[in-house]
Amino acid sequence: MSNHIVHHEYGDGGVPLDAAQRGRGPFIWRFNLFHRLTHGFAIISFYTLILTGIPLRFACAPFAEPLMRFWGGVEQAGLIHRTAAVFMVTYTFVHIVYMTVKLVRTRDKRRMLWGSDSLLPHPQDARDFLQQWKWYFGKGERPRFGRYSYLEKMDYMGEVWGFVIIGGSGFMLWFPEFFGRWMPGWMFNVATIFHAYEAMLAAAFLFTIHFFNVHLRPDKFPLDAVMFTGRGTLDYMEEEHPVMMDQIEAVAHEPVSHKAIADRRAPPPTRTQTMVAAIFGFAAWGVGLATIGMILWAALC
Amino acid sequence: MALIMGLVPAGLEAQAVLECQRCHGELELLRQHTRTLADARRMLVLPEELAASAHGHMTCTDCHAGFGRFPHPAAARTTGCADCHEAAEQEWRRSAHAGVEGEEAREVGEVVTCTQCHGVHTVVDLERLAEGPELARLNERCTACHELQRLSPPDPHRAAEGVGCHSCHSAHEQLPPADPESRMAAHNQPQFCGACHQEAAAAWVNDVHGQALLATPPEDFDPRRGIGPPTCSTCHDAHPTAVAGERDFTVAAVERCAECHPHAAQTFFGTYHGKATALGSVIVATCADCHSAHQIFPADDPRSTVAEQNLVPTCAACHPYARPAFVLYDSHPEPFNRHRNPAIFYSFWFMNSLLIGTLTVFGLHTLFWWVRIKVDERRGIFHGPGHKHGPGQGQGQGQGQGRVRGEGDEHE
Repeated sequence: MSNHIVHHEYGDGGVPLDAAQRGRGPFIWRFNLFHRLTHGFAIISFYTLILTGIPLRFACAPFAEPLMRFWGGVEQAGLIHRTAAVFMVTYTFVHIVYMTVKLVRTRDKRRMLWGSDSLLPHPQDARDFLQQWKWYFGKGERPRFGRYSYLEKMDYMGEVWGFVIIGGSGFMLWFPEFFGRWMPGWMFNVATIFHAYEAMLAAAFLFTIHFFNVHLRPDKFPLDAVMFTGRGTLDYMEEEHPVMMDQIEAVAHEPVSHKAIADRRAPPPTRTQTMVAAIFGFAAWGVGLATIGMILWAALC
Repeated sequence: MALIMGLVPAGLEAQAVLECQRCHGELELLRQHTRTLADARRMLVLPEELAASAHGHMTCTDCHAGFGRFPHPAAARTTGCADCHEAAEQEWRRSAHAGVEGEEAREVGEVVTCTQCHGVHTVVDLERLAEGPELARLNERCTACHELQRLSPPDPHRAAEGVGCHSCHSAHEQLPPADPESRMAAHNQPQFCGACHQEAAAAWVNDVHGQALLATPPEDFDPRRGIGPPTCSTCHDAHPTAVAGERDFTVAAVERCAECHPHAAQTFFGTYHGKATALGSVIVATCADCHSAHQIFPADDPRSTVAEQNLVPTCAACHPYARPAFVLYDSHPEPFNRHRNPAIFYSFWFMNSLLIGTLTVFGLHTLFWWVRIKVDERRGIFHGPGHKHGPGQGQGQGQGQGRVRGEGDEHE
């Protein structure tokens, strides 16, 4: 019996906390260290930006003043906000360089841009979206996703859109004198609206819809740590990304190579890795839900 | 009850004073003739105290005429302060300290006489009274009763040299500010605050607030209910006086402007300036930074700091590179008003639609997903990793599982 087929259970044989560790099969790499670090940076900077920005946006809410005091006052919160923004711009730039280098070096550019591995939106995503609704009403099977489902692509493209909108308006508001040389002043009013609403949209989307899709769905509850540990079981991958697994397996079928899957095989995450991922994940989840609570609370004022 | 005397060791008077001092300098002796120790103390006059007072050059009998002989004749009377200080007495008669008749009497309390502020034998001359420790002592006497009006050390009026309660409230003609005759009555403030703050008062009387004040007859004011145009104390308070530039003043000033200008305040609090101010920033612009403090005019008045032609220098106070394009910023945006600025209106609605639209579509997407999974669960169809094999099945035996695994194993 091959040693890569393991029935993963922890403790007393119950269901693993991490949805990506449930089911059988070897662990398969889904995200490399660079992906995971980028996502970790995104969480840290996004939370910092949201939590320093939200008391200003909802200055009339009861939580605004204590939260500002926590940051050390409006000016210091602004400084932290802009530091986090610079951090976000930096890793985004590194990410763009990484993706560019990857695209230049890859032999199959068409596959990276237009294939089922792509992060870019394709017509197939629209079909998957409609198929998902058909499935909801019992009019069809669940759509079979490739490496990235349309929801994951939405998260990614949402970040691109959000980065441009929030980043652009943020820099305008950071340097009003510079931008005010060649822009009419009311553009700062517009920038304020775009900045605030796009940030609210990002926060509301990530802290409700992204959290539900990724972690809180009854079939994955309470946590999917694949983005933190970087790997999931074969069962998990087949459930979430069947088209990708088909392709891996198609290669594996060929007599020369069991290599495709062997190359992607990962050691099971250690207990420590799982614990760290769980603590990080739950902390992010808790703060995110608290933030949603704050937005709703503030809506009353 | 008769008031007693002391001793000045100088010249002719000294002799007379010494005579009085025989009894009124000896507490034990006095105690034998009084019912209580407190009475004896009141009759005790210390010569050095009297010598240091403004009345140090006078003899006892100048005030206590007829008491020169002992035993004191029954007809002897002590002279009133008014005999010499007629003008002060006249002023005092008009003040609240002379007593209030009717309903208010209980509220205001008893009559406050000369000696309660000036003391008896320790009366201080005007020069010393107006400064230093004597002024502080005099103010203490005022605040002994007017506790709430006590100024704390950082208050600019307390810190200022030679400024005491009397500087604003007059020395003898104190009246409650509600009294139109009071120096601190709303319409009198520009005159009396302006006595020191000339520049502010001179500018202010011409601006909208000053003109409104001058146009309003005193009887139309009711400061207690905040009726009438704003005066000095409407913004600056009195006890303590709020200092421009300090956080407390800045926040309070905006709130005060907001009392009469709620719409302007509401739109201001929709901007970065307003929000940062509400959270305690003092470096961002508030009402007075743009509209000025004492020269407020409508925007269509060329004297206004927010008149179109004056906006560049006004904004440039904080934004040094302000240009005609920059000052098109709307400090009081109305996102619901299409005519005020269509760009703001449409971007507001676009972002709101995007927010609500996205959350609605994907909120429903999420909700239906949850329902689908729950419905399937009830029918015995389970989703999620590990469920496709069904419960209790050993590895490699599940249906539809591991196209790779089964065959992959054989390869090995």
